[in-house]
Amino acid sequence: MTPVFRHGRLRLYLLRLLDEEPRHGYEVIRLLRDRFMGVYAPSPGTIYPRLARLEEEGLVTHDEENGRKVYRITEAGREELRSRGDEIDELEEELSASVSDIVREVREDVRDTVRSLREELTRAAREMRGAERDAREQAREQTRAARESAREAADAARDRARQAREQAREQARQAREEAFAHAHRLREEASRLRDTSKDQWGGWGNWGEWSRWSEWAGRSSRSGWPGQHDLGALRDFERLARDFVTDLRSVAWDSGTILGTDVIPTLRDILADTLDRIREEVFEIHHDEPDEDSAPPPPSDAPAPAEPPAGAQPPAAAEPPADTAPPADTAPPADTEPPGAAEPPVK
Amino acid sequence: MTHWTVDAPTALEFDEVTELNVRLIDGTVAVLASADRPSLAVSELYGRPLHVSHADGILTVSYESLSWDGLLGFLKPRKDKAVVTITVPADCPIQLGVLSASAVVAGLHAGAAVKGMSGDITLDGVTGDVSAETMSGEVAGCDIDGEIRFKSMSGGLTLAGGSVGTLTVDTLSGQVTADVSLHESGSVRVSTMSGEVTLRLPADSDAQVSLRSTSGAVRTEFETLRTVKAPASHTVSGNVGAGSGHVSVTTMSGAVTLLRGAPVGMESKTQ
Repeated sequence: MTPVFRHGRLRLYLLRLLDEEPRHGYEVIRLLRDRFMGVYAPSPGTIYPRLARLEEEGLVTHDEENGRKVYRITEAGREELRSRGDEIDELEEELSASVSDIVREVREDVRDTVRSLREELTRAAREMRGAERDAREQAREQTRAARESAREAADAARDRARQAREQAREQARQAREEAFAHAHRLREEASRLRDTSKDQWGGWGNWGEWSRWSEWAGRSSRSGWPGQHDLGALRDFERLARDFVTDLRSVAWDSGTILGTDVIPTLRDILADTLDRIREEVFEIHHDEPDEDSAPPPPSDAPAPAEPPAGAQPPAAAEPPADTAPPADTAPPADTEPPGAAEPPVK
Repeated sequence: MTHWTVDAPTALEFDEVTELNVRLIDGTVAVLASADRPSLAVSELYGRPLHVSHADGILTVSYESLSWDGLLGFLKPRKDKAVVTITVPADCPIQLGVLSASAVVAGLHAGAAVKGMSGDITLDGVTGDVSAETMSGEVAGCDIDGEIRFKSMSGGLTLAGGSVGTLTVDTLSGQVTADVSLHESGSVRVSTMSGEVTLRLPADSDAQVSLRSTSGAVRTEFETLRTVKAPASHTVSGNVGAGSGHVSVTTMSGAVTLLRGAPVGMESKTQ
C-alpha cells in the first residue's frame, strides 16, 4: 500500500483530530487505525514524537488526566488549520481514496489469484488430456502393430489355404481325368468286348453296357485283361494309379524346384518308356488279343500317358497275381525307377 | 431509526451494525470486515439519491422501490450509479443485491448472500453460509470456508483455496473451477448444462465420487476411480479415501475434470 500520509500530512491530520475534541495520544492512534480500516496502524513511536513537536510549535497543549496526557489544540493550531483548509479537504479525499484502495486491492488480489488458479487448472487438465492422448496414441500404435501381424498371419493362412485349394483342385482335376480315362477305357473295353462278343455270341450287342460289363467282368477265366477280373481288382488298379500320380506330384513338390516346362518332355519320355515296359512286361500276353481289335491300345495310350504307367503297377500288385505275378515283380522297380529318374532333372 | 437520503459523496459512521442489506443498480459495493466502528462511505453517486437507514442495528442501503425479492425483475436500464464502501464487524451477516454493479466482500465470518445480474462478485476470506446468484456475472472466491451455494445462467464460478462443508453449484453455461478441500463428510454437488467443470481436491480427500457427462469428456487424476464410457454417458465413479464425503458432478455437454492436488497436510502448493 502506498504511504498514507505524504510529507507533512500526518501533522495536519493530527491537528484536525484534536480540533474535533481533546484526545489521549492512545485515542489518536486508534482513530487513525479506524480511518484506514486497520490497514494503517501508526505506532506510538510515530505519533507521540509528533505530538510533542506540535506542542513545541505551540499548536497543541496537554493536560494531565489520571496520569495520562490529554492533548488539545491551541488557538495557534486552529489558525494553522484554517490557513490550510484546502489541504485538509484534499487530505480527506485522499483518505477515503485509501479505503477504496483496500477494496481495489482486495478485488485485484482475488482476481489475480482466481486467474492464475484457472490457468493452472486448465493447464493441468490439458496436460492430463495430453498424457491420455499419448497413452491412446500408444495403444493405437500397439493395436496397429497387432493388426498388422494379424493381417500377415491371415495372409499367410490365406496363402496356405489357396495352395491347399489349388492342390485339391489339381487332385480333383487329376481324379476327373482319371475318371474320364477310366470311363474311356471302359467304353473301349466295352466296344472291344462287344466286337468280340459279336464275333462269339453275336446277339449280345444289344445288351446294355452295364450288363455287358458285369457279364464280361464275370468271365474271369477268360484270358482277358488281368485288371478286370472283377470290380474290386479294378478299384485296386485305379487306386494304384492314383497313388502313383500322388507320389509323382509329391516328388515334384518336395524337390522344391520350380517345375519348368523343360522337365515335362523328359518326364513324358520316361513315362512313355515305362508305359511301354508295362505294356510289354505286364500286359504282354493279353496284348495280343486287344491288339486284334486295334481299339484298346491307342486309347490306353492316349487318355493318360501318365496313368497307364501308374496303372500298370496296380494290376500287377492287385488281382491277377496268378496271371501276372512275374511281370508284377518287375513292374514296380520299373515303375519306381522312372519317377526316381525323373527326380534328378526336376531337381 | 435513523434515515439519510444521500445525494452526494458522504461518509457515515454507526454505533452498531448487526445486519447489513444493500441494493445497488450500477457501480460498486464493497463490504469489509473491521473491528472498528461500522462506517459507510459513498464516494461516487450519479442519478437518484441513495436511501440509508439504520434501525435496531440493521443497516440498509437502497434505492426507493428496489427490494430484494423484486431485484432480478428490475430490468429497466438505469443510470443510477453509486460507489459504496461499508465496514461492518466480521460477524455481521450481509445481503447484497446488485444489478450491473459489482460487489466485493472481504473478511466476513457470518456468511454473505449476494444476488447479481451482470456484475461480478468477488469474495475474499468469507466464511459461513455463502450464497451467490447471478445471471451473467462472474463469481470469484478466495479462501471461502463453509456452506457455499452458487447459481447462475452464464456466469462462472471460481473458488481458489478454501474448504467447503457443502458446495452446491447450478449453472447453465457457466464454467466452474474450484480448488478446495472438503470438510469431513463434506459434499460437492455441481450441475451444469454446457458449463465445463474443473475441480481440484487434495490427494488425501475422502469422498464418494460420481462424475457424469452426457456428451462431454470426463477425466480424473485419481486412480481409484473407475471410468465407464457408454454411448450417451461418460461416467467416472468410485471412492477416494474412505468415501465419507460426497462429490458429484453432472453435466450435459460440459467436460468434467477432477484433478488431484497436494494433500491438505502439505499445503502451500498453490498461490
